[in-house]
Amino acid sequence: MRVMVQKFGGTSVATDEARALAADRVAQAVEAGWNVVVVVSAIGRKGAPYATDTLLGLLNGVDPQVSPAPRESDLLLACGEVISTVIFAQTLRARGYETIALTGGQAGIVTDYEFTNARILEIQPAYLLQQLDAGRIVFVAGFQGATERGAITTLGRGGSDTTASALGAAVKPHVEHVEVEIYTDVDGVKTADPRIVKDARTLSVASYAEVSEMAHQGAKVVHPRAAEIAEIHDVPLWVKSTFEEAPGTLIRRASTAEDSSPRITGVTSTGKLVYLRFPLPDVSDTDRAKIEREVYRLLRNEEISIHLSSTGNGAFAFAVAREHLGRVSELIDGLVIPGELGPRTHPPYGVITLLGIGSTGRGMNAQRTLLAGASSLVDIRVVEADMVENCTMVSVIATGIDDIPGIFVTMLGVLDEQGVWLYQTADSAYSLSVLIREADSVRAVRTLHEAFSLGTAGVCG
Amino acid sequence: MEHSPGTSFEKERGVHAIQVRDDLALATCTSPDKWLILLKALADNGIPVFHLKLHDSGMTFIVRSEYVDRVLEVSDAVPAVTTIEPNVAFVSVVAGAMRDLSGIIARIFDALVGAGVQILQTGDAHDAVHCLVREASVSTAVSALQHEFELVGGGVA
Repeated sequence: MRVMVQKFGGTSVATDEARALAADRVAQAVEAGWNVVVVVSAIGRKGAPYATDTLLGLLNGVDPQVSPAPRESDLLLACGEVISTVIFAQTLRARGYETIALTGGQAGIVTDYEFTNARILEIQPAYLLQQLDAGRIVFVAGFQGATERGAITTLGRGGSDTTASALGAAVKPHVEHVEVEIYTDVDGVKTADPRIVKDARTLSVASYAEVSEMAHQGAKVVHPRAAEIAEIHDVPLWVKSTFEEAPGTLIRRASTAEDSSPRITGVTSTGKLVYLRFPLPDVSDTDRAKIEREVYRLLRNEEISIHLSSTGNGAFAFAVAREHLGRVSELIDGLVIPGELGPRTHPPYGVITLLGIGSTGRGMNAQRTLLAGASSLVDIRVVEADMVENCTMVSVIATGIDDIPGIFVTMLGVLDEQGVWLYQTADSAYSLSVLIREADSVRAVRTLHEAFSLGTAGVCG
Repeated sequence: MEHSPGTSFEKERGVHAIQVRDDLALATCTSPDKWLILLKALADNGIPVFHLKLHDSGMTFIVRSEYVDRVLEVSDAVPAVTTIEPNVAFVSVVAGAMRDLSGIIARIFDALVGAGVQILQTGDAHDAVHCLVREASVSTAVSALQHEFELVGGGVA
């Protein structure tokens, strides 16, 4: 048996016209001799009657002061995919195909109990394979599974991509060949967001690691979790357009010389970030680390994630999502951290560090007034953090970064020539990133795309 | 529903390994108007640098120990003021779904500061937080992090 798992996103099943095109893709695969599993997302996006966000809004609207229980949220949210799956199955049934629609749990997807963000523990594909063997097209509701005890769970962001990839992995040991196709509204993995870069190219081939990195750095084609699952199980993953006849992008393990040779794959941008830098020029490394620890502890308590952390050279710095700025300000502006309070015989008996965000922080100024009376006994060290509110991260995705001479300096150099101010940089095995003003983001992406010749013959594949 | 243990479909969530990369040197360029020129010169000389961080006073970057002498030669030629701290190592905390996990950095600081390990530099990616420490502190750092993330007896790569 040769199995094709096809996943259709919300826009691909939102209208009669779109559903007809999506149904054509399914029919083509069947006619080509594949046994087909179809994974479907909820119909439409926010505002559409059965979209995930719409259902969530309905639940939250009961009483905004009372959070829904995660278990019940999942029970409701899973309905969106169930509705679209049954409707899409009926679309193919109306064309004369034998179909069966299954929930994630019915398809054998067993998850842990982390409602709203469940992890797949295993998949029991026997029933699904039995249905395929009987000649049916099997439709599976994406984004969901079930616990051992049958409670419906959802898989979190990118859940339907994850479902498709995981089903491909599950059936692989039992069939002759399996491939997964992710259908979306673009014709594959692009070298940049085509809304920003008009000559962005579609990659014909990419590695799992490249696509996963692109997704982590802001590209919105395949969820990184789906790419990671496909990589673990070595399942070929295609990204194709529902609406255009184009070959798409094949995502596979970098096994050929072409796949694994050093190359620059794309430029991405992501995040609305705030950058905070705390200058500590005359502070010992030990005290600096203690101050950092206190700040990070507070952010941990609020579950606020930190990006682009940096320390040393008389400062420490990090970025947080802009949506957290208000809470971060409340936590840090006016924060008092004692230090060096060892035994002493005469003043100053120690040092107190007072943190503020900018020089006008109300919390810091209030604390400063309160601490004024203690200044004859202890040193008051005031640290005013520099804040850059409107930042974003732009990344160059590459394979074999260490073997591409001058890639970092080229990136920084062309941005510098364009007058793009760089606040910080970061690098990993598959990406180089810069933190810049959001207003410079489009110019930076276009500049880098051109500098690395990504729109012409600069990209393999 | 009964099920037998099957293939693990997904990466484990949370911290699952501590990695060490040693034989490194921390370079600090304190010529703020020369950092880009220095980087270009290093690239022209085929010297790979990584973990570049920008500071008010210039920049820091990491090179493998074998390149230290050449870094200083290139820096002198620019000319830029560059100092080297040799014998440093990255101790990295590796996790699945790192961006979904808050507080990893706080726990790292808790562990390392508590163990008296000086953190010279930090950095993060979607699947790891890296801490630069002196090579002499590596074993203490690894032990502290293994304990903090309950990886004692394994999880070091």
